[in-house]
Amino acid sequence: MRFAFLAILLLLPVSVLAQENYTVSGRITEKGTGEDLIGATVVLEPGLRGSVSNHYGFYSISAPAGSYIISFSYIGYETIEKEVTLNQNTRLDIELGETSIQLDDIVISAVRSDLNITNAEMGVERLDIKQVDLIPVIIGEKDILKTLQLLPGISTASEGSTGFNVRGGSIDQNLILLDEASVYSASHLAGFFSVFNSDIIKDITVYKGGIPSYYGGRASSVVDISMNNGNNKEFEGSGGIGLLSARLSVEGPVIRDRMSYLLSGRRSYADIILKALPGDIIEDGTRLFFYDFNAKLNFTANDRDRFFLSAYIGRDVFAYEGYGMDWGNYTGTFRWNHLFSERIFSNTSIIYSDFSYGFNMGSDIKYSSGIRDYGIKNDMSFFLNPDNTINAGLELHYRDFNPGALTSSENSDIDIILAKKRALETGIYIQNKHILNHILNANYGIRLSTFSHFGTGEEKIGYIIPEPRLALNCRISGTSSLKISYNRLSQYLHLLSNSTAGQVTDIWIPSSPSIKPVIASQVSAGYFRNFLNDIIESSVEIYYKKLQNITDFEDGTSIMLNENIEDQIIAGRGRSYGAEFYIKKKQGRFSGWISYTISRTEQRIAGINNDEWYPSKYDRIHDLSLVGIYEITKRISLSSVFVYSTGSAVTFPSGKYGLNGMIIPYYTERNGYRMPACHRMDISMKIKGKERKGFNTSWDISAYNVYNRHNAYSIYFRESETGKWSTEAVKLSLFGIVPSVAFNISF
Amino acid sequence: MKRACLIILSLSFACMACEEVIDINLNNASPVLVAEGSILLNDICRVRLSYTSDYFDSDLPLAEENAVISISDSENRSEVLEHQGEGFYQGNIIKGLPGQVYSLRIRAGNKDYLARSSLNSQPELLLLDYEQLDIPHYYHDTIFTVKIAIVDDRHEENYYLFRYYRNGEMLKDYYSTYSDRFLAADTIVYSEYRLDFYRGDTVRVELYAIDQAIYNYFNLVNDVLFSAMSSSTPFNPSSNFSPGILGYFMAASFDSESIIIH
Repeated sequence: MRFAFLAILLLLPVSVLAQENYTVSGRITEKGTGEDLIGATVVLEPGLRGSVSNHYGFYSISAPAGSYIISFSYIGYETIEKEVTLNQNTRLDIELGETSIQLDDIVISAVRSDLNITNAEMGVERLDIKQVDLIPVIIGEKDILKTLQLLPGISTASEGSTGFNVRGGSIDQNLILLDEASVYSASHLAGFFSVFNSDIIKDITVYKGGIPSYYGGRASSVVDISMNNGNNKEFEGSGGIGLLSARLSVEGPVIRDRMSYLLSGRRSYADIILKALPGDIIEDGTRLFFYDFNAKLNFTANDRDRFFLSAYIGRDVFAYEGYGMDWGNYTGTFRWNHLFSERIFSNTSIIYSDFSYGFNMGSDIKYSSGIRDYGIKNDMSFFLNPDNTINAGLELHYRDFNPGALTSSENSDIDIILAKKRALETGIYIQNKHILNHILNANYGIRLSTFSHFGTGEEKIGYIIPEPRLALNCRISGTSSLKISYNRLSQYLHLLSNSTAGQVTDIWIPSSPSIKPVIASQVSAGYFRNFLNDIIESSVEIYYKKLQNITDFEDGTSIMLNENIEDQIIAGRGRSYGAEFYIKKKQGRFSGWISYTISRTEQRIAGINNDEWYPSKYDRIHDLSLVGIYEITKRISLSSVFVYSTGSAVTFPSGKYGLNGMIIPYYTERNGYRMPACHRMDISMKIKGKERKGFNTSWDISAYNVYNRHNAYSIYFRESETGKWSTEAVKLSLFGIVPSVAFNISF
Repeated sequence: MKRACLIILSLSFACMACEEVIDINLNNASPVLVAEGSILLNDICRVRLSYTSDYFDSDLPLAEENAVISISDSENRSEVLEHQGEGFYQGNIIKGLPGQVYSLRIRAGNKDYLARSSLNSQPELLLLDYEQLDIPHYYHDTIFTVKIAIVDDRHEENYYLFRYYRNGEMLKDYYSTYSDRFLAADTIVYSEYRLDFYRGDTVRVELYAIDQAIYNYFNLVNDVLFSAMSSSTPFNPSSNFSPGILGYFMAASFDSESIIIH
């Protein structure tokens, strides 16, 4: 930590002493749709000064006066070169067109081909939506969160679930952002499907380590998801129908090149079909569905100002006559991009997010719980010179927590309303992306987070936690580099959950005098090497993560409507360490990757397991994913996924005893057993229809778990029917082979 | 088209969720003493001592037959329980009285264990009734749940345990606990929806007034038994005995009612 402070203090003045330069800046967009291209590369020659477009497609690059060739490139798109004479600041907006698709040119990665070597970032993965589209998943529902689970260091919380654990972190330690708004519960249908409709997602970046100071608030990872802006050239649409849901998206210009919209909806339809079928398969009073609705509007007012408005609504509804439950998220973001000068880019966001869960028993009794988040964020990018880009900003979140309220309209005596909680979290950060020389470059910065819990009397509490971040890249050769990173993260939000994968009934609460913020410190180091002209990327990363103030419950703690839950939470320490191996072929008819992680995650909590270290329920020693995609012809591609992972650590009985005629299991050590290893293979085939002007179709035919392995979802123990004192272990498997088919259109 | 959709849907979902009995290796923990002790209103004290056994062992658990067990009340009356065989012990003199706090001392294997429990005044089971549930059932036309009304003193915290019998046989895996901490009223109406009864069943319900420690204990046992299929971390319910022993000692008064479902 001291080292990080020192590094920041020593290096910042270097940036300030930069010499006077002229700047060329602008936006890089896609030719056909006007969508911003994130992470497109800009190179100025001679001198080989480079820059990368930001989240809004904006780039800025400075150089002394003179004549240069400037080139813009983005994988899968044509490269454009232009001559520029820099004798004044120059605005240059560029549209890149997709290269015509050649059979040998299937591009899986959307990032610059050697960015993994040149960039100081590590522990970062970017998913292109094209990947998600080709990878088989259960019931044919394309799912970005399930695709993330195939990457190194990210494991599945439980089979079929969208819940994931990053480097041994719990699911509430993942910050999932949709256009900057936190999504507090990212799943539908008991966790099996994510809330993200992949048709309208532009970019997905996951940070497992070396997390930039721009992000804060969670202890393990950040998943930053961006929605498309909407085509500002012409109207277009896409949609599809699978076994579970149907979806439709439309987008188009309101004012050509300046203002566009995007509207998208998805709904499960099993209830509609079952109701329409003869015979009362489900009764009229039954409602059983989920839906998502996304909308976005963007407006370019002038060269300096752009505005974006994004919204998401998603809910699950499960009801039978007067009884039922529903849950879901609402998010909204308003963003304003402003260019103060060619070198100062600002983004201001106003953010709203809401997650709520509720059930009702008849018209009388209702239960609700949830969290509401009001945020404002300003981020400034200072493109000081070709070697230094400084980001600084401020983020503020006010959160309202409803830990649970049971009310009756007829008898207020039975009302149980837990006191609502309110908290304010702020983060101030500064970060510099610094090219020290042609061998070394670094990202370093610090985030200062503060937290206040508004309560009465002893409940009031405040924390200030400095969070240094550092990533250093040392290029060993043109094709390889060594990287190290350090980050400290704090988390002031806690998800009270009794399960591994997360349930909608879980409850968010803020830190308090008795629940201290989780603090994670992580060091990692990695070797990155590309082969065959950057077609194959490989990396080995090792990491060690230390967690303070992780929580568990006293035995038998009830989460719902528990007024005393804070007294039943016990805190401890955690540690996670491991090595991640990754090799990825990005281009060619055959593409895909192998990812293998070997790791341990342990915790030590006073009063549990005789105060000794024990494996966490997120501990997966071996985790292997193989992903292969093969394009047979231009219209037909085959893909397959194989996964293997060590079973999670669980507590099984080591004895039994009798009580009132019941057989009670007797437990000795916490998480002293393992679930059986889990493995399966999925396959998928995509068949595109004949290309027609303005209307294209495709079929996805897939099978999940092709060799029908009955992976254990849980193992439980019960009295057997064979004898009075006999007991048996029962394995519950959720998914055997699951075939599916989906039909997609675009127009 | 509808038929095709249904076939595909059925194919997909039929492949899901299956249960199978599996072989699994479990550690064999050293045997730990287990006590089940009770003193009920106007009745003598009864205790059973046994040991934990290996989880897949189908032999009945070993009994502790050489323990010395004594019971005493708040007025320092005490007696030593007699061993009746197979780990069953019982007293002769001391009978359960409301307002007394009973202490049970067990000496076994050179170790001493102590538990205390208060015997509360007799509860009143005001009414036992049943109602039909509008839920389809595979084997029975109609299913019923029992509705129990009890008298409660709203000015003090009371804890209750319900035990159920169907046609004279105790439903050993199903009992209910209830506390008036959240809902205090003069009359409490309680239904146990986990239990189905059918036409012709004779249902008996026993209502026990228990102390808080026993209420907590039976709640924990319920958690352990009924959270077995979920992924929450299981545990040993903490006893109202001093450490090193499993089980409980309960002083309780009770009332009961029976009804035939027509």
